Amino acid sequence: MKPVTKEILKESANKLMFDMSDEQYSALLEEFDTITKQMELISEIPNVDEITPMVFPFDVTNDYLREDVAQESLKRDDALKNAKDVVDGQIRLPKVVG
Amino acid sequence: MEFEPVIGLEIHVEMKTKSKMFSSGRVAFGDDPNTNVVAVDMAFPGTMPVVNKQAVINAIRVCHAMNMTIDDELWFDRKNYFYSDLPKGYQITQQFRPIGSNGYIDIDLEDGSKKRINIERLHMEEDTCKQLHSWDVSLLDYNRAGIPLIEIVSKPELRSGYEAMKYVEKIRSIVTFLDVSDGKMEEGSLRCDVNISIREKGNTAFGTKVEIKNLNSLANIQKAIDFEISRQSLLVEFGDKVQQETRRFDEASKETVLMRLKTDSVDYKYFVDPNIAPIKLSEQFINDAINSSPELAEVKLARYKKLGLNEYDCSLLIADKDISVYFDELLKTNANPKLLANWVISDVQAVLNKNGISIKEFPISVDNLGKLILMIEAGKVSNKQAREIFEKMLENNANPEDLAQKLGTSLNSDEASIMNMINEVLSQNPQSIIDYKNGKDRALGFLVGQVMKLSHGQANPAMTSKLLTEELKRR
Repeated sequence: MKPVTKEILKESANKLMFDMSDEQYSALLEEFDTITKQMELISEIPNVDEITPMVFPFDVTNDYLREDVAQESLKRDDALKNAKDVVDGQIRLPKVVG
Repeated sequence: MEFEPVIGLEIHVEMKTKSKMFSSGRVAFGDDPNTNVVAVDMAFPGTMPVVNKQAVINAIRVCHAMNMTIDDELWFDRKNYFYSDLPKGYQITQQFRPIGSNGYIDIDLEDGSKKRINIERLHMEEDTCKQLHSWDVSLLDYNRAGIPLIEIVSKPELRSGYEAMKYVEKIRSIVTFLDVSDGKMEEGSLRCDVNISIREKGNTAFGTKVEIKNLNSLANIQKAIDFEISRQSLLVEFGDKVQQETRRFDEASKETVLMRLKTDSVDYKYFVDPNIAPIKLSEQFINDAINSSPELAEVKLARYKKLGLNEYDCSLLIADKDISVYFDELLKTNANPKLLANWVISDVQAVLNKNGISIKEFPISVDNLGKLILMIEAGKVSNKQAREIFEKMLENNANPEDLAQKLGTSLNSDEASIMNMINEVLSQNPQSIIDYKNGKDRALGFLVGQVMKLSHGQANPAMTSKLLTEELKRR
């Protein structure tokens, strides 16, 4: 597996248009290091490629489905509180299509 | 060179549930922007999706109507992409295990024959937010974000614009009759993307496919595909290559125009949504969904035929699901089905056409129209009078019995008074009595007409005829 480096993290952050402090990068690198080691541990299991990965920790199903009942909507001002730019009750962005 | 078009369709159907696919946010159309949203729809941190039961029931019903294999375990996956119409950064869909697979529907072709179109898959997913683009900005309305969708993917077995149009028409009929969607293409409740390529006839390999988006009517689907077939054929004929691209249909020029080239396919990095544990659907649940399903158009048609209605009348009644529902309610009056059908097909339909309204906006309630038709059947009003009353009912949905009295149109069913008029008419027309006795049936009609005339159209025709016959026998 390709090692995760600070350059890769910086590039990814850049693509997602944010940046972090050096301390945050170091912390994240440490986390990736732990994860990578765990992955390597799993790789040591014989014939691991032939094993179907589990998505959930337990192989169980449930039968709960929500009844189709609508609940009160958020107040519009509350719903849009995090938006920087609101016009006529809608979030405004620079045009996203050409 | 002779070409064969290869066409596959992806149809998105917006469900008319009360709440959204994974949240209890309200589903409504035409409301003010961002007034039908809850925390899940806005992807606020800590929110979790919970699957809508009715949406699952709807999907099962559509799967059944299209003869699909229904998966009894529900699995949902994340389709990851970064775009402003998607608050979570991913759309929850069913990539790996669609609820329905391997189905088919039969479509009617122009020559009266049927063609079976196989359907690859049907899956549930959530709609995205609506973006309104002006010349320099985009505006976001999250009311649509999370509305339940079903996507139906056909096998590439359609061969013409007409076939594609009939296929969409059939699916629209299924989803509207099953009450899953209003199926309005012009409002985006049923959206259709077309994949189309051409190949030399006899070839089995596929050509480069072009996607057409924004097809908002059945007519446009047909036109866009037929245009695209000739565009691609011309390209190949002159030695050019068809490019892999997305095009849209331009209504004004009736042509498809380039939107963007598809350089490479987007990797959506699908994976199972860890927030929704697999849901087991019991056999009972699936069977209940199917058995409690509203009638499909074909089933209604067969039922109407059993009532003695002809094929043409039946087809008019099922052309619009809401009209068939109105007619079904009228049937509960137990009046003659043929009479009821005639009123719906001619008189009611004429009002709808004239005013450009749907049956849901039709001013006369089933109850009152039913009463009026029963009055005709009982001979309390003549057809002519019924139409006068009908006109008045259109104004305020008044009770036809009250209107009949007010208008003085209620027929005279008083035996004594009708007998008086019969005697008067017979004394004035002795020759008709002789003609009747000599077997001339027309004489009876003439005499009834004379009584009607004398009563200024007020005498109950059925009763008049009966009393007159009896009286003639006595003489």
